[in-house]
Amino acid sequence: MSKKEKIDPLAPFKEAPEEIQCIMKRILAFEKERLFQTRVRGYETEITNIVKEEIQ
Amino acid sequence: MKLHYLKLKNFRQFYGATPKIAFAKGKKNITVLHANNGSGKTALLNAFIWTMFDSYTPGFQLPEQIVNKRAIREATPGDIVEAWVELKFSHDGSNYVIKRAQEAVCIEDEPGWQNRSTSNATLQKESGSGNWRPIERVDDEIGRVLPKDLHNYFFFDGERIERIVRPSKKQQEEIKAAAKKLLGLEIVARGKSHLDKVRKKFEKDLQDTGDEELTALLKDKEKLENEKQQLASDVEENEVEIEHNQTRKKEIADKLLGHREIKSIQERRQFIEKEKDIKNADIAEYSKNLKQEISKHGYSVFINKLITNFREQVDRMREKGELPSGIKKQFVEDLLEKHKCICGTELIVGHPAHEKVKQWRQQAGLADVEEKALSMGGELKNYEAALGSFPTTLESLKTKIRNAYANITEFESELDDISDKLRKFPKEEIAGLEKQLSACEEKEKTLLFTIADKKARTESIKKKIIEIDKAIGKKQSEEEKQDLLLRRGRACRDAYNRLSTMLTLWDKRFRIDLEQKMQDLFSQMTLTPYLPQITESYGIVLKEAAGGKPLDVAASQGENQILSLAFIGSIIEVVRNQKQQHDTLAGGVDASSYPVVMDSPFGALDHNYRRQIAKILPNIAGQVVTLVTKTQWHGEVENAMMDKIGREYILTYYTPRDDVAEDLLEINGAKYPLIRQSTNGYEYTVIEEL
Repeated sequence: MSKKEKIDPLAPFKEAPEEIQCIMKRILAFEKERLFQTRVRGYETEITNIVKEEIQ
Repeated sequence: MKLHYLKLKNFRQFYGATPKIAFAKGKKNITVLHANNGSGKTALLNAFIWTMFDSYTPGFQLPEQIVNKRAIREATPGDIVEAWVELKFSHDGSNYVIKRAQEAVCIEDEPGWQNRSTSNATLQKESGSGNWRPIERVDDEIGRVLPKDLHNYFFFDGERIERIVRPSKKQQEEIKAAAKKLLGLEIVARGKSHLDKVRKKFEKDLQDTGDEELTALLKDKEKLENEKQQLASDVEENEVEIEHNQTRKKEIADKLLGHREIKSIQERRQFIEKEKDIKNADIAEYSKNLKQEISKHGYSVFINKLITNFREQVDRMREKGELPSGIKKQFVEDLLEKHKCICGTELIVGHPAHEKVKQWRQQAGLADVEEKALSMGGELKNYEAALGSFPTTLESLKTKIRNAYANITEFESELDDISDKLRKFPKEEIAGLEKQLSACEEKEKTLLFTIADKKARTESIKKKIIEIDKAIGKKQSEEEKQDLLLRRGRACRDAYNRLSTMLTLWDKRFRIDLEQKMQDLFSQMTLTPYLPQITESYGIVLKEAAGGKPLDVAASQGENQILSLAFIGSIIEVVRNQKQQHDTLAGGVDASSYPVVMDSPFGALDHNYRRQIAKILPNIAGQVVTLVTKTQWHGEVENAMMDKIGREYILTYYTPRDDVAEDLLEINGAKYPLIRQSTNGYEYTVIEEL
């Protein structure tokens, strides 16, 4: 790819099916909230719940 | 982040409480603090870093000694003396005041003081309501404003800044991580990692409930994934080992160069090694061209026979008189329809005249063939032209590759001879060093082979995993639970893959933009024809492209300082642009409003560089705070920055020595003392606004 061509890093998100977009958005929001918190547990449970809620 | 003021008490050289150092903002966004060496410039820079992050720069000597010595000496044993730094700033619509304090106890024995536990920080926040509230988790909140590992890009010692562009592998990883944080990509990476764990959990649940075949597939996959992870970690270890080995090789080569009797041999070896690298780069370039040539014109080899067939066929038709056809089909059709020939004969169906004209229709049909033959004849000439130059180009590239390999063989043979000569050198130390060098080279070859082998195995495992994933995907479980688990596992994998691609794209885009911006800034700062390039691992190399092919340039200390400033300026600019272009899903740190605090940014630079940097500095960040000596400031820097200065302070150093002449700083015709004699026997520094 030419250096001048613009790369759109959000393309994989934009092209995703709706439920995958929802999962991605919610997970990133969750990670953002927790990013600067120390001693946080239960990431897997939270993310598992997000996936369970979106895929039923 | 916008700085409001900094206030100190008993912090290092600063005895008692200083006045508030308010920082310039808006159009005149530069704050200048004038001081002589040793008067507290580095201490002031570290006051920011210490209070926010409980950290300091490498040039900050005796970091445990925070409390001012005069304050301790004036106390009586058992007294507690406190030092603190208070910083007010705002960020994202909120105001903050952070205060870090350190207590020391005055004791009778040497050194006369002892710190009381570790430093303690308090943070107050006000979010527009006018009510200030204490923040319990200070580090978390400060981390949201500016992550700790990014502070050295915003608060830095100009005399050591060039280290940014000569990063070790570990530091390159840190730059990569810092870039990720600035763009808000760290949370994408974390999300990706957590999603993978959750996907594995769903697959494990499926394993427990699924049928035997599915269970076997999932078990196989788990095994392969573990193997892949082990290989990746092995490769990482091998790469670190190679890096250590290379450092060791460089040390040995330098030592060899230090022996006068073999200096010329060692220099010759370094020359050949460089030449060998150039030839290897040439081979890579020629091979790339060869591939492109084959993919572009390779087909022409196969159409040679078809062209001959086509020509023979057309020639045969010409011999038979079928070409050129000489008559149009439409013309014959019209005659038959009008039932009249051009000679006037009636054309009645079944009569001989009608039959004869009808036969012309058959021949007239070949007019289309003739038209095609003509146009194809033209196209074929182009193909033939391509076919004509293709073998020559191919042969020329192959010859170049052969010649380059032949050169490399010669170089290697000469390198072997040199190595052999040095191994047998009468001086034992030289022979010993050479043997160590050979051992390092052997080790590197083995490691490179091992890495290649492990990477090949990883690729093979990846393919197997894809196959297993496909097989798992095909499995249609009748049970609702299994189906749900399958869909959830697939969703995790899909989201994971998309996040991975996004990270790769972000990284690529960031590097391209960063390099372009850095080249732009660097060219504004320097008169040389050099261009900085950023490698995939965020190493920075300077290239000289004036004579055609870009070659590496050994950057001077001054150029490295400029490169580092350009790098910091580019990071701020690129993050600002990328944030403006799209509000990322993740939402990163808003670097556009960050201040830059620099101690001696003009340290080792000559007049031209100082002038250029002074012009650019006010534009690289929202606020610029610079700590300078008189010699760094006067002249071109002062002239270039004059219009942008919002606030100026002087740090006056009081010395107990009576043999030191007073030193004055002249600003706008007024004189201010940089050094004064202390009247109380203590040394200390006083801050005053100009």
